[in-house]
Amino acid sequence: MSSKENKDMELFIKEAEDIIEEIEESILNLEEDFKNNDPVERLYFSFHNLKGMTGMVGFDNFSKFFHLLENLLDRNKDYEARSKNKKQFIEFLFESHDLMSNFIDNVKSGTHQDLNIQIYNELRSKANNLETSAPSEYDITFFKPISEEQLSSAKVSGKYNFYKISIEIQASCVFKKVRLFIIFRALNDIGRICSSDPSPNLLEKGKLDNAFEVYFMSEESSQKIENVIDEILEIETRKVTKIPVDEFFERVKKFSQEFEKSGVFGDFEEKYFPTSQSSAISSQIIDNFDDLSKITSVKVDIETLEKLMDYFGELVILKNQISQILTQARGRQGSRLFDDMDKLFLEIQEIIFKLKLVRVGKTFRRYRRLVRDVAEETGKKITFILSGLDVEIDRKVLEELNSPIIHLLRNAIYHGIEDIKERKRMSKDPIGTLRLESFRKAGSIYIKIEDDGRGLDYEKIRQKAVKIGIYSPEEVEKLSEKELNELIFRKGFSTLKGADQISGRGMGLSIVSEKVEELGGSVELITQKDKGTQFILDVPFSRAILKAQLFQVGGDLFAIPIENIKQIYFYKRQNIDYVKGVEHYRIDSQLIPLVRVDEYLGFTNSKHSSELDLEQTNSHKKIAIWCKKDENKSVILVVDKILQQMEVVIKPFKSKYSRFRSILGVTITGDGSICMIIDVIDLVSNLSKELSQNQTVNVIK
Amino acid sequence: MQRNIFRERDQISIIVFEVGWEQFAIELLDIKEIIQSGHVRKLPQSMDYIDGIYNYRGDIIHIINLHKKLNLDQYRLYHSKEELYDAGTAEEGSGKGPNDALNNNGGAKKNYIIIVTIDNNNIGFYADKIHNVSQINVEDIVDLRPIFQTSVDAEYIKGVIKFKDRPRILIDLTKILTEEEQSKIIKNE
Amino acid sequence: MSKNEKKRILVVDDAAFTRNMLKKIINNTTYTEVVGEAENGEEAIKMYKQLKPDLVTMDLVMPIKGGIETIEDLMKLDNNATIICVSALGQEALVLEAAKKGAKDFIQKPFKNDQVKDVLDRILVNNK
Repeated sequence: MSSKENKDMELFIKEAEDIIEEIEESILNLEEDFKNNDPVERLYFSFHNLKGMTGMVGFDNFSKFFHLLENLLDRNKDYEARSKNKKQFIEFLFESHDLMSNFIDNVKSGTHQDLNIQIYNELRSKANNLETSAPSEYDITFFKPISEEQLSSAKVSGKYNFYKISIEIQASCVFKKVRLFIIFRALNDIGRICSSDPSPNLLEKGKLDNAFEVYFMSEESSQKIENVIDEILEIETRKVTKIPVDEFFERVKKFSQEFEKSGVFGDFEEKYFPTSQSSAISSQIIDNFDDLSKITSVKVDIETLEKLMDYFGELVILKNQISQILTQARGRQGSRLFDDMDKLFLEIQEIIFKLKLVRVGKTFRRYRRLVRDVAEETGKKITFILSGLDVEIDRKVLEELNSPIIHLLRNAIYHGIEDIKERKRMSKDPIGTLRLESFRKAGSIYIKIEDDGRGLDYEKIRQKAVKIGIYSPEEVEKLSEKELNELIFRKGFSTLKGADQISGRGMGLSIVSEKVEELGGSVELITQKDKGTQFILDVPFSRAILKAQLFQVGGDLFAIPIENIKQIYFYKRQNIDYVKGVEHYRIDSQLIPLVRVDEYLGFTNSKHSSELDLEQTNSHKKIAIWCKKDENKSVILVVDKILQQMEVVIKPFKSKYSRFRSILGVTITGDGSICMIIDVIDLVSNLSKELSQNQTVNVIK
Repeated sequence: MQRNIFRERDQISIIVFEVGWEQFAIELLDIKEIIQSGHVRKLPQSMDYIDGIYNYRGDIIHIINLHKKLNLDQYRLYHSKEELYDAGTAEEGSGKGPNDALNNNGGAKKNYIIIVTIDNNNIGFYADKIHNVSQINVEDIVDLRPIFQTSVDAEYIKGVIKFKDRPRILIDLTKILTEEEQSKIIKNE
Repeated sequence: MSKNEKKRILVVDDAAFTRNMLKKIINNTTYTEVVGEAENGEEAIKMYKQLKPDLVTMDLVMPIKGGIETIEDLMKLDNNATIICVSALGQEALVLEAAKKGAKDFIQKPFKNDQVKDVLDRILVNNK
């Protein structure tokens, strides 16, 4: 295979994988809300795209298969059409999805095997069976909008006649929709209806005053068309007029555009365009160009991204060296150019960091299939709730978390959530609830997997611990819940046979905690007998973007999230007031606790920097930043100097060399300096704790 | 006699560096890189021997102040000419680093950062001055461990090198943090 | 098919009254005749196989086997079967389903003689 072909295949795989992923999500969405037509429409697009793609790389049977699916979706795009067959319909779609997924996996591993024709035939008959019992109230006018290319090739081929057909239905006709259906069917049997007046949307809803027009192309003569119409009952008048090609085009184009706008895409009806091989190919290529113009994102593999970041890091270091040389040389022009470049560096840095972030949503939604399948397998009924889908997380971290999350979800269904009978007996909702949630807090991303199942049975864990000889019966009684929780994460504890029944949890929890710890995170377990279990994965987020206010204290850079800032003032000494010996700052009539950041962080030896205020001249005014946690709790931070606001990329940072915990992370500014981002919310909560403690101390005194 | 530490080598490459008035030797193999120090920012509410954190090519590393970590004020390992240090003049054969200290903190000139990798984490140590690389015969290294058998502190001392002018401690910066201290280093990514 | 040969029609309806009405109208022309009558879908299919009629009139609501199912089966049996539904008012969805299953056209009950004749004219005579 040539390298170009390899590239094409790579592109094909990447794109197909994306589409297949979307397909799964659409099926899940459809299953959840079967009345919703959006997933059907999305599926239709997906199949349509796959049809073209597989066709182009030579998987003809797959292309046929996708054509089949596309048609199936098209005919079932209305709820009424698919309503009778929900289960089979969904199952068929899932089955098709898995088939595609396997197919792509095979292609990836180098096996370029087309769909077996026998399997195709089986699938086709399955699809047909689905349809036979599906009634439809709409789907009367079955239009296929025609593309300009198709029209052009039809024109060139010279085979077709172009007609305007005016038909008036008898006023006495009661079942107008059925009448329309019969007329449209008859005409489509001998040609192709390309447009109508009133528009097909209106006709579909049965909105017409007896008379309507269709724009019709056919190889047949007007005599033949008239004959066909004449076989149909309840027609008052009919008129078949040959019209000039251009007029026909004009009319149809307008219609197609409207149709496209409405988001419904046309099918490629080969039946009417068997003409020449070349015309089919040319329009496929045009299709492809159309797709290209719509591409708004490209896939880059992570390795490339990492490389880019490394090189960029090196570049920043070089840049800093140049900066030093420039400062020494005192070339003004050079410095200005350098400043401009510096700004660009900053921008690029942000973009690069952003590239590594993804929302958890896409990955989380994929678990719906897993939950559905496991629930089906175990015969349990489960509501799966996803939240915090917008939380952004480093791609790599998310990938690493995949298997722990899957593990915990499976466990929750297998061992946590009881079967329907037991739940009823416990007078619990027979439908179990499983939650997957993510949120960001103080430098970490939290991922919580929560079920409302039976919880851990500590008694049985104790017994097990004794049985396998980790503890003596006396020791085990003294174990706290926390220690028991740790026990089940221990290697070898839960993997032993029979652990399922005793711990209520399956095997391999040690693997989960290992994996999370590898990422610098931890796993917390909260469980309550018969109420449920929560696993909380706490993973430091490597990077996130935040809009922040930068400031300076003691020569060092700091920032706080803008969302936490209420107001910024020039610090005025006369606003200081003491409440129970603690410094407060007065704003209007409110007294807000005050934190001198330099003192608080231990940057100054002087415990009385407030006294220095007196010596302060106007040339160096301190700044008071009013930060809020919520409406009730806020704090004034006194800082040296206020700097700009900017979007910063947060790098996780935790240091056990420091007792200071209120750090969201750090960010690296354009010149390579570290700016520390303070977690205001955490700071305020700690402060109010300290204050209340102080106050009680004061009372005792 | 010290073959085990030096893995059957006859010669090792070392670098002599200065912290305050003390000079140490470190094995080249133990060093990841020596960089000129830039802006090391303070770490809030931190241990006293942590000078701060530094952006080492995108990796945020802790910078350790050996002077404080080893309590050099308290226990002078070698009573060299204190005035020599104060005067800031270079000894013969010493490195030629720029003396325009970026960080003039209490008279110390933290011109360099020696980067060492401990358990996959990079850690920086301030050095005021770096001397040239030299080759040392293992025979010239005196093992001090039998003397300090009970002292935990001796862990980071690989031995004492007998130079012509004066002996210098061959230090192992990777062992300078106790296990407990090491565990405090958290991977940031 | 010779012009003199009469078109053969199978009437399917569970109501004898309707069957008789249809039979009267159909047998009253020079070119059509009823060759069989069925009370339900199952009978209809059996008779269709035997008689191979040119046209079937099909009631949609019948016991044992309804019209829709019957049409489906007939179409499988003979893709070119010409089936005309006979429906009551208010059965639009049902008629549409029948049409989708392959019914050629439909007439509504109560029908007039002319209407049935119109069907026969259009479908059997025009379509030579």
